[in-house]
Amino acid sequence: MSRIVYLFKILSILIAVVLLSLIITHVKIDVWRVEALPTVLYQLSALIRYGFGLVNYYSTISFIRMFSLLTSSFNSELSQALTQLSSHYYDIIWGAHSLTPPSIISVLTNLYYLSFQIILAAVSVSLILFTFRNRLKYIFIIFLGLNSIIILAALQGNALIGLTSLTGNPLIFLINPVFSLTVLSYYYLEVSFTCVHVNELFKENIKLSEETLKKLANAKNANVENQYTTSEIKGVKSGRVDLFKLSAFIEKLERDNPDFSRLISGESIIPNARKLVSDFIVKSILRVSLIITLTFICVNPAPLLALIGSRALVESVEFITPEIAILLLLPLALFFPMISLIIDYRKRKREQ
Amino acid sequence: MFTGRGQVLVLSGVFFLTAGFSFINYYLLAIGVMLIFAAVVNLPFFKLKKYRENIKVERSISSEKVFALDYLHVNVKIVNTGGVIDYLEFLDEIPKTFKLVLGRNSLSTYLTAGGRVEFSYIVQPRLRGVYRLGPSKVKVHDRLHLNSEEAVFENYSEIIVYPPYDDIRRYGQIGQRRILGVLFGAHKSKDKGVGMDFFGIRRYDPSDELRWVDWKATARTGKLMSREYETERNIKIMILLDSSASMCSGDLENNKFEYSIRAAVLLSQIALSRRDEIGLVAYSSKIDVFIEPKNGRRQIFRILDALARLSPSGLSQTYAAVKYTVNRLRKNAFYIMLTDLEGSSKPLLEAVKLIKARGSELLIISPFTPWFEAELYSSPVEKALSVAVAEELYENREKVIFELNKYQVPVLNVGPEDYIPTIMSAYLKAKRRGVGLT
Repeated sequence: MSRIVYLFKILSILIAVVLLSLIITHVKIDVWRVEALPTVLYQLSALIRYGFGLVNYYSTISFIRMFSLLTSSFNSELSQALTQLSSHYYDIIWGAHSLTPPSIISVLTNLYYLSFQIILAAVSVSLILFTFRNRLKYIFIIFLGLNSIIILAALQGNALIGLTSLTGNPLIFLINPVFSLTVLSYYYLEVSFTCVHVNELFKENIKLSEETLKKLANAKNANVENQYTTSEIKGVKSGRVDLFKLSAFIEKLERDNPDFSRLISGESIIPNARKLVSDFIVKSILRVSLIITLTFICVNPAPLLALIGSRALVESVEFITPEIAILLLLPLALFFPMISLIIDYRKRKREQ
Repeated sequence: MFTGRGQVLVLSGVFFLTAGFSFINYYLLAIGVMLIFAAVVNLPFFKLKKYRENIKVERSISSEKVFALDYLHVNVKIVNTGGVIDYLEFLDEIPKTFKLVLGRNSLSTYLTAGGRVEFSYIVQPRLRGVYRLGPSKVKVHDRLHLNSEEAVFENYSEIIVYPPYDDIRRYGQIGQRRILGVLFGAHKSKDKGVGMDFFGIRRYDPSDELRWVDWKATARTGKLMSREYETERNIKIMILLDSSASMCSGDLENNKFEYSIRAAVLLSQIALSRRDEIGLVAYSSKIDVFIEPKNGRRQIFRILDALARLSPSGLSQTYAAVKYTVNRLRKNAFYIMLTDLEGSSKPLLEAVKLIKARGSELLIISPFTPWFEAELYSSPVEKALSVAVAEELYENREKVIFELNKYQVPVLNVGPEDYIPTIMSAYLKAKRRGVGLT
């Protein structure tokens, strides 16, 4: 029964690995700098040392100056000597080993390169953990982490994907690597969510069912032991009645209903795996097709708007900006919640 | 409308979309748009399904009346008369005082069109009372758990939980025996002169009938001797149960009131098994329950039913309750009052006078609050405070007991461990002495 869970899990991991390798290849190789971590560590330590040095310098200087001020009234020579010391303190302390802080830009640049490695590590760890535990947080870490790599790369112009607009006819659109990566990325979510869903329906239910059957068997065994004991020691019979009340109750229920163990273990709760898989395939294909169509319409609004007849808009300069996607995205995306609200309203009306 | 997962998807979509705009990246733009559509596209289809109408929930229980600490089998059937339900979460609510012993009262499943699931679970009611199983809560999700809808089915099953039967099992067997030996030492209440059982021989009295003369004994002693016969007489007991709010302070399952109820049930069962008449008055600000003393099998169920429905509240109006009871009972009886003596002493003394004026006897069995709440305090500060409070309460109680003793009313202070043996002992002593003979 839990084979279906493994099927979805393998599928999900497989898509994640493909996605990971594709995303790595779609950012410039330059971003994967091995030296980012040691450089950042060195720069941070230099910054810390510099900070401590500054604090030390200014606190000592203030102390010497204060002491010089105090001694000026009764020992002018000492006061002068202290004043001289304070003016040469910088050279005395830092003369031989002057300390210059790293530039902020340099620190930030190295942190930027390091963040790629941190994200990659987080994604890899989550992927490993997801193989053992069906947790939603791992799915989100993998999905958001992978796409964050593209975002980070795009920040400094290191992304190699999505640089040109997605125009053209639907067929060209479908074979576009940008679109394939988008669909794969989305499909990872769809499969992973289904994996968690299937796990809850099968693995959890089977586990609970087995636990109940185990408890049931224990209760029955307790009763057998009781009969054996009470036949031997008659005096303790009344004391044991309480202890085995449950097993007697179970026995009675089993006598009355032959299906009792099936009912108590909740066997009928575990769904049919074949129906679930076929249902997933059909619904998933329909759903993804609808989403792809809608995304295509939004990202490439020219054909639809040209069809409507808004020629001036199609030929305007705004049409080459990515923001044009909002033109159809907003009405289309809001259309579905609006329809559902109307349905909800009608339902409530009918109930009233 | 959206589940948490759906909201994350929408927010992620907006984030990627803005990132796509900012960095002029069409991949980010496409993924943003796709995520937004993924979250919303299913909404109308999900809303179109009439889950509330299509799901039918049926519950059946093994018994509507059950003793506390016994078991109850609950069977639940869920039928889907509509289309496929990708994910159904179901919870059959049980009262807080019920313990789930076997099986489960919640589930998550996938229901095909016209599909049905049936499951059952066993619960153990821990506390007497009137309870309702239900409602049944249903939450339907789509396959990706992006949208959800909740429905509550107000299908309640009422259950009357009687006080625990375990005490009756434990002590009842002992109580039914004539010679209790170790624990109580019970004997028959005798009424000499009439009956079939031979009692003894004594000197003839002119008022004796001639048929009672024992000629053999007369010949042996040379004096007229009479035979004496005896019969067992039943006694009439009236339990006066204080059901004021102070009685239920402390632990929910082991407070003074619950112990008093257990004691009352046991006393009733044993008295009825020995054909004595037993009645019950539960009082607080008003008379909550009045059951006239009777014997017979039905009486125990009357008492059990009344005790199951009782919930402590208000202040104890002892005098009003006693006056009402005394006026309803024409003959004398043996009154056993179960009260924590935490109310005003004046009405109590008035009530005692009333009982005594009718020639009846009264015994007060009083659960002492600190002994019932000792386990609730864990920290040294709480313990020290509880000791101080206990001393104060004890002093007040001693004053009341002193006043009651003036009217020759015995008061027995009891804790959780000796409550039931004390009431049993009191009953058997009364039986032996023939207090409250019918």
